[in-house]
Amino acid sequence: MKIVLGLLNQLLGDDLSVTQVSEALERAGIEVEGVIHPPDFDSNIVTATIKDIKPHPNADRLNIAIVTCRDEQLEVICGASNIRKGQRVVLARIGAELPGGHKINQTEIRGKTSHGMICSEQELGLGSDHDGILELGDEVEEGLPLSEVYSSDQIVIDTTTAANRWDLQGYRGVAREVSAHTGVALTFEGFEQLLEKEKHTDDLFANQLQEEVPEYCLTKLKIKDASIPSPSWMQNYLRLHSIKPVSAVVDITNFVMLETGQPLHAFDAGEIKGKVNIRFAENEEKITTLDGTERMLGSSDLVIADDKELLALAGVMGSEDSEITAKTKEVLLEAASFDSTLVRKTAKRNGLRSEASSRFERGLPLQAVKVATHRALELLKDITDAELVSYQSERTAWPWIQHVGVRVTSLNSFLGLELSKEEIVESLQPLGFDAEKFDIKEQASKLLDKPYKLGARFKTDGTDAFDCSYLTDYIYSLIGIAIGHTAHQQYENGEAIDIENLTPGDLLFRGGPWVELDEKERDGVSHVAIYVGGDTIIEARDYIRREDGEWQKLPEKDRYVIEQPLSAITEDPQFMGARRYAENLDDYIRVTVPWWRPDVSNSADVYEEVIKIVGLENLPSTLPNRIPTDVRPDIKRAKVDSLRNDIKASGLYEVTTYPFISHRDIEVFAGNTEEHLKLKNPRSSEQAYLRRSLLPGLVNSVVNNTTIEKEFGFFEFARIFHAQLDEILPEEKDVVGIVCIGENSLSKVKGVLDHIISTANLQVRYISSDERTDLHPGRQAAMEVNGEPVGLYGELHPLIATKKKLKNTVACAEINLESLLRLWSAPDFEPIPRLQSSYRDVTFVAPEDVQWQDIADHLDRITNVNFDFQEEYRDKNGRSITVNVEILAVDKTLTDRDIESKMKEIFAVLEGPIGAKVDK
Amino acid sequence: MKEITFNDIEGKIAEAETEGQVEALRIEYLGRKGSITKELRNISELPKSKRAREGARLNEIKNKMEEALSDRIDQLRSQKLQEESSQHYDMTMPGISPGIGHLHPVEQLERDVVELFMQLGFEVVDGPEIETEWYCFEALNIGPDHPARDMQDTFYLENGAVPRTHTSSVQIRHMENNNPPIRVIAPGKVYRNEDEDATHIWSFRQVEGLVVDYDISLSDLKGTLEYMLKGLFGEDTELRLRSNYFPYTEPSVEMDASCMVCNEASRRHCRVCKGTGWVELGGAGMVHPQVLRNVGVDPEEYSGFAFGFGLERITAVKYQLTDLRDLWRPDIRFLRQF
Repeated sequence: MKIVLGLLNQLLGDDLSVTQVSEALERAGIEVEGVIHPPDFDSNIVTATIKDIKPHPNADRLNIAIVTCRDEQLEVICGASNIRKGQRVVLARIGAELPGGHKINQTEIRGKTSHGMICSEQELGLGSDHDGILELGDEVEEGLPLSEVYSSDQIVIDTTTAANRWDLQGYRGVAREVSAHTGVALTFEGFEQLLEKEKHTDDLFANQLQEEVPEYCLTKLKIKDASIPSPSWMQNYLRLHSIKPVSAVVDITNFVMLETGQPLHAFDAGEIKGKVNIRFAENEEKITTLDGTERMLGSSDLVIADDKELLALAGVMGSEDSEITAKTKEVLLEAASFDSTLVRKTAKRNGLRSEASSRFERGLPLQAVKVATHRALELLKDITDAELVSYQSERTAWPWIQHVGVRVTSLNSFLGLELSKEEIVESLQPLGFDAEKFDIKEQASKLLDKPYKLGARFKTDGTDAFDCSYLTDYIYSLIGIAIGHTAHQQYENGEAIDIENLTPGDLLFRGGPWVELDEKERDGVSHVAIYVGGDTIIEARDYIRREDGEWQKLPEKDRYVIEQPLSAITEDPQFMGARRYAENLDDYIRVTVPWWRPDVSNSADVYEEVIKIVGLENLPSTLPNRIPTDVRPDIKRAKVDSLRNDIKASGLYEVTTYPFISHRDIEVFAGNTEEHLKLKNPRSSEQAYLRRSLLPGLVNSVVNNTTIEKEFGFFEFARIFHAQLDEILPEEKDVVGIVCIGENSLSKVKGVLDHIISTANLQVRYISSDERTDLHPGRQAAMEVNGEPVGLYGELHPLIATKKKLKNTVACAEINLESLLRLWSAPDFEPIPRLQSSYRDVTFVAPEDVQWQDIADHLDRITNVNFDFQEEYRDKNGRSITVNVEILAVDKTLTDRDIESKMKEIFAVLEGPIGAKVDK
Repeated sequence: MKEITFNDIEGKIAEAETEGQVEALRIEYLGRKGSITKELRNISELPKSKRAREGARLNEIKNKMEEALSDRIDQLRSQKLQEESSQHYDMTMPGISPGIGHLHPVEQLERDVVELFMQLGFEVVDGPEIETEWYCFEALNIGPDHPARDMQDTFYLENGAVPRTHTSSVQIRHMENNNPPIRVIAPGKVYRNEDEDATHIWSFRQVEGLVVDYDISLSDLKGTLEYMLKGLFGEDTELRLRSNYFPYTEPSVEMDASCMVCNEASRRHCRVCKGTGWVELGGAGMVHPQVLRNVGVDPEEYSGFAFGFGLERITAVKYQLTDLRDLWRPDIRFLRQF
């Protein structure tokens, strides 16, 4: 909400500076978004209207605006994109000096003359917005010097208010916070009773929705002249809140809404036929709201109607038919509590979020209705000489009073402070919280002599009358402890206490006459009293035991809350024992929340108010001092890190790509949109589906970088999403995606995989496959460890490469991270040979259909020999492969003969099962 | 055959211009097949009377020659060093790249953050990126009427699941399955249906922290956040907490770090803190009692704090990035700078 400093200061009866107010707001948790100081404007800066717009003949982005200012008409060149015909704007005329010191001269822009400048918020020093020109709104007259619209004492503080604080949507609520944090007193507490009882009537309205509209008040006023405008100070304030001044009556309702936070509405009483009805709309009922739009309603829209037609969409906007006009003689002022959810839904369904609806949405307390009505009456009497004709006010629910019991030790342990009871009480008082040390005797004594009424409860009786269990229930409710509503429940809920160990606050129970009790409650517990210390109990009493031992019902005048000696109950033959509900009642502070703070309902809420007053900067810094005892070692994290470092060390860039992909990409990558989970509300068709693979995103990223480098690679650790049958949530898999572009990209990707696999020490088998439709059907392989699939790699399908306009070969891999981490093992260590090995290169021509993996498998079976792949080349002889052979000396130095025999063994394997031709 | 004299050899050695030429001379005379070696070998064929004298002469030449050769080599080496030293060698030329790649700056930051918290005994936990409304909103006290539930702010899948809007959902999942004491951190990606610009992106990474135990206090939260800021930005960094409102914490605070970029003098023009001296980093607070109850933890017995902040935002502050979108749109020119 925007806060005009001058108006706030009126409610504070002081002249606080913008810094003082901003600091207080920040402490209160109200975020200050910015402060706008209107500068002193040059008289040549005026309000004007865009009459017409034509394109600049020599510049695409510029327009020539025909601007009117009273009788003048000027051509001004403007580049703003938000320019629009009929707009009220700020014109700096030739000769004007802008607040920044810039002088406006007549200029020529691309062959056209500009007679001034249309200004942005930033150019005027009114804010930071420089994206377009400042739009003033129709309510501002044309041809005024801007200094009349924004004067330099109208400093505006722009704030964000929490969604749970209705009160901060009004100046009074803000003033209360500023007052609490600065110590400056408020000027508005309480009000003079202006609704005279004898003017009350029942014929103004019929509320059919007592649940949804728990408070409704209509005040009928006679107005001498409904056409008179409101005073200019009020008009200025409204304008600063972007509310258009209309007439005194309407302006006052809006002004009171700004001040109190409670929206009001004024109807022309002369236009209303019969009674005002508060009801739900009928299906397809129509209303034309004040903005001139006809709206079709449904049966969950709250409406205000007379006997003939709809008057308003409750809490959102009035209708045109019943609006105040110059001819209005009598006004019906409406103030009400509308159900917040219904208002929100109606406003949302109709796309009509108004100043009023946004306030109702937060939920207003019932008390605000009276406050706002009285404030409006006061202003209407002062400004329009309005006379009260009659009023009708109905409240169908008890206004909620929230009590919270704050335990001093809990508060201190929760906040990490060491406040005394007194300090806590003192910190809450400035915020309007009624707080005091909880003294059970004092609390109970306050209720002495209150009449007895069987079945009394808060909703119906408040604190006017009690029965025995409501008395004890009520006293405990003051510190937020629910002990149960009936004596029986209280007996069951408490902790049993020996009579020798009684402390104040313990409840005492006895049996007795059951006449008034329900059958099911007649199980023995008939009466409860509260022990208040010493030899005293307090009870709400209706029976006494006569000397003959029989129960005697007291006459009505003798039934009330009374102090008695302890023995009156403990020595009764039907005494049943004592119960306790809280350890150490001395630790408690009773806090009653002020009516304007419905957001405070539990002790944590109260702690928050205390720390705000104490100041977060005064909070010590500590660390949690208990280390969890059952710590699970994190064995994955270090592995993931080493994987990332390995891939990085292969020369690849780590990237992050969006998980939402387009319909087109699913098709390009030969996927099936049916298999992909779809967003209900995508930002664009580019981001409409959840990815099932990292490859589309990675390949697109490669495409976007081909102009920068020719050969490179990307990798990403991220999630893919597979829909699961009968489950709302998809299966999420952590995968590692790798993509490389370049002539040898397939080998490059394989090299990265080899590297990873050797780090994780996996026995991977590559199985040629053609399963993935996004990869080259002849150049892809699935990776398996002990038959479990762990990933795949291959060349991007040439058709996809073509569609993506990729000239170089792209190769990709996708590895299931979970499998990789699970199968991870320590390296197989082999001791380094003590004796000198012998090395030989062996070159052979291998058949085309034999895979390296098979060759390696065969060679691996030869004992005491290690192999290293050297190179592969092709010539007229076919596919030549060279491997380096290490012949190990096992227990003695190798002789030429040993080597000879090992080589023969190798040749035999190569020529036999592999079918190679060895170049000896 | 002419008798070999040291004078002849000495001249040749002096003329040798490279170590190779010096070595060639050594081989010519003193090598296995060198002329002096040969003559020494042939000495036995001389008459006995000449043997001693000739032997002594040849050995003298050999010794002198060896000395001269080694002197010449020293000479040549020092000459070479002198020459090299007087030449210009550009020590600033780019090296030969070993071809090592780059890690993503946000992922790197995530590691830094995680390591800091691991020092405090936090366990790293994880949760799904696609959530139910219960975990993302309801259990966190974000009612059906809360604006965060709006389609304007939140993505929904067609089946009603929610790409999580914050990592706070992990709090709920973890507390459902674990009893206090709880001390966890949950990094992960989150998604918001917002328009993108240089300072807003619709998907980003968050780190969520949660501590629940007996007697956990707001001051514990303050100390923990302070520790993190100092760890990330240096010992001099200060923490400022400001009151705020979140439905799932009470009290709720906003955490700011003192600007790590500017100082008093340069503050006015600081792009990072916009002249305020403070940089907004994230939200935190004491876990709302209702949230604890929602997962079966008794708020009368336990209390806890939670915090969450965006890693992209901190990365942007750390490197003074001008456009957050660069972090999600891979561009080699951007990535290779980290």
